[in-house]
Amino acid sequence: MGDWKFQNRRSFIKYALGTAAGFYYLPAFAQDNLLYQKGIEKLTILYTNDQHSRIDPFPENDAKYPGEGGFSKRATVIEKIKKEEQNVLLLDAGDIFQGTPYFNYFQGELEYKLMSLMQYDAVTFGNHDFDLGVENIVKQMPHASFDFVNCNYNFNDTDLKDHKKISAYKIYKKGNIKIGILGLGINLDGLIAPKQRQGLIYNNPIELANKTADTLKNQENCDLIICLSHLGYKYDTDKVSDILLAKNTENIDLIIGGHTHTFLDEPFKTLNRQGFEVQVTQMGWAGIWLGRIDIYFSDRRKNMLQNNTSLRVK
Amino acid sequence: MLRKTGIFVLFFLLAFWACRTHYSVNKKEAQHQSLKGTASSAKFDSIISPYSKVLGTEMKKELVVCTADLTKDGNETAIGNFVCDAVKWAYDSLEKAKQNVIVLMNRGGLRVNINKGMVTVNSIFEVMPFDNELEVVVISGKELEEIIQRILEKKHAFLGMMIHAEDKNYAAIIDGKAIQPELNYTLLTADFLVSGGDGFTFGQHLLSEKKLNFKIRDAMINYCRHLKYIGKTISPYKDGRLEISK
Repeated sequence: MGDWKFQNRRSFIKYALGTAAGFYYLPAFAQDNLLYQKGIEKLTILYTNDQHSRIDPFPENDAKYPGEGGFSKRATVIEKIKKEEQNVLLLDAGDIFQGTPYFNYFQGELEYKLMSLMQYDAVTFGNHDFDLGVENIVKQMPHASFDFVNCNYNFNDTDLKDHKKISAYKIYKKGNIKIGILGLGINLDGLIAPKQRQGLIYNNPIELANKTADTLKNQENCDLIICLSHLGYKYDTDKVSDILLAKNTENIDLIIGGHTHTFLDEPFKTLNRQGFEVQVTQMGWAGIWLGRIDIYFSDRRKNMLQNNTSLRVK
Repeated sequence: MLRKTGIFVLFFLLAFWACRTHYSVNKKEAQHQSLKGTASSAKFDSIISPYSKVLGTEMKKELVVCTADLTKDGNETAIGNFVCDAVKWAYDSLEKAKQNVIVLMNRGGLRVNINKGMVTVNSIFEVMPFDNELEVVVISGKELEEIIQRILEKKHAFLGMMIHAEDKNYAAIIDGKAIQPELNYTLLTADFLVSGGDGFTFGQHLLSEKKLNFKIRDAMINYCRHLKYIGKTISPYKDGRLEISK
C-alpha cells in the first residue's frame, strides 16, 4: 500500500514539474487557469519573524541594513502579491514586540494594528512578546484581528486562559486547499523574568507538535501542515531547535521559524522521523526580508482519473 | 474490457480510501524579497504618522557624535565596551566617586549597532530597548568564576577584568591579580541577570544586593550627554580584555 502511494506521488511530481515549467512564459492569470484545469492549485505563503517593532525602515546611514525593512513598504509588497495570487497565507513566527521606541511608548498597539491591516492570518508568540508581561498581551489583543497559535504553552493559570484569539492550531481553507497551522513557543526560563509570565507552563514542544500535527493530518484531514515556531533554528547544544523538531516529528511539511534571527537564502530540507521531506525556513529579523513560498498541489482525484485513463488506452 | 473496467473502479476506490486528504504537495518554490527600494504605502504611512509624531521630538534629540560604527562584531565588542563604560560612569556619578567594581552586561541585551554619526535618543532606545535597571551585588570568587565560564561561552560584555582563554583553560586578572575563590567581588550589572536571565545563577548566591533604581538606558543617555558636555565623542575601541585563542 505504501509503495503504491509513493509511486503515484512520484509521478505527480514529474507531471507537475513539467507542466509548471511549460507555463513559465504565460501571463499569471492564464497560468492559474491552466493550472486549475489540470487539477493543480497554487498556494502562496508569505511570512516574517522577529519583527521587533521595526515600524520604520532602518536609517540610510545604518551600517548593516541601510534603508531596509519597514511595515509600510511591506504592506505595498503584500498588497501587490495579493492582487496577483488567489490563495495567499500571511504568517509570522513571533517576537513582534520590542526593539524600538514604538514599543516603549505604545506597547505593541501599532504593530498589531498594522499587521491586522496587512491581513496577517496567523502568528505565534515569541519570548519578547512577553516583555511587558502576559497582561500587556491581553491589553493589546483588541488591536489584533489575526489568530495566535501555540500548542505547548499552557495559559490556564494566566489572564490569557480561554482567550478567543489563541488556540493550539488553526485551519485555513484557501481555494480547495486545507491548511493546518500549529504554533510552538520557546522555554522562557532565562529569557523572561518569572513575574512577567506567572502561571504560564511550558510543555515539551516535540511531543505537543507531534500530537497536534497528528490531529491536523488524521482528524482534520489537512492537505498541508505548517508549524510556526519560535524555538530557534539550531544550537550547538542539544537544546530543542527547528532542526531537531523537523527530524523528530511527523506530518509537518513546513517549519517557519524565528528567535535566532537566521537569514536563510533557501529553506533547509531534511527528513522527518518517517523519512518524508520537511523544510525549515527563517527570514532573519526586523522585516528586512519578506519570505515567500509557492506550493503547487495536485488534486489526487483528477490525477488518478488521468493516470487510469492512459492505462486503459494501452 | 469488463475486467479492465473492474480494475479501474477498484483503483478508484482505493485511491479515495488511501488518500485521506485530496491534495498532495508536488512542488515548492521558495524566495525572499528585500523591501529596499519599495515604495511605502500612503495608507499605512498615514496610520503610522500620529504615532511617530509622538515619538518625534524626544527621539530625535541629538546626544553626541560617534566617530565610527559601534558594532557587535568579535568576541570583545566595541558596543559592549561602550555600554560598560556608560554604566560604570553612571554608577560613579551616583556615588560621586570612582567605584571598584566589575561590570557585566549580557551580549544578547545589546540589540543593534550604533552607527557612525550623530547618536540620538532613538539610537540608544534601539540598543537597549529593555527597561532593565542597574544593581550592585557582592558575590564570591567562586561565583565570579562561574560568570567567566558564561562569558567564554556567550562572549558577554564586561569591564574590570582581563580574560585570556586558550582551549578550555583561562586566566582572569582583576587589579593585576588572579581571581581568588575565597575573596568577594562587587559586580555592577542588570537586574535581569541577577534574577537569572540569560542562564546566570549568581543571583541565587548573593552576599549583598543593592538596587540602584536606575535604567541602563538612562545611564547610556546620560553618559552620551556627559561626553558631549566635556567636548568628547564616542570613539569605538577594544583593549584586549577578552582574548580567546583556540
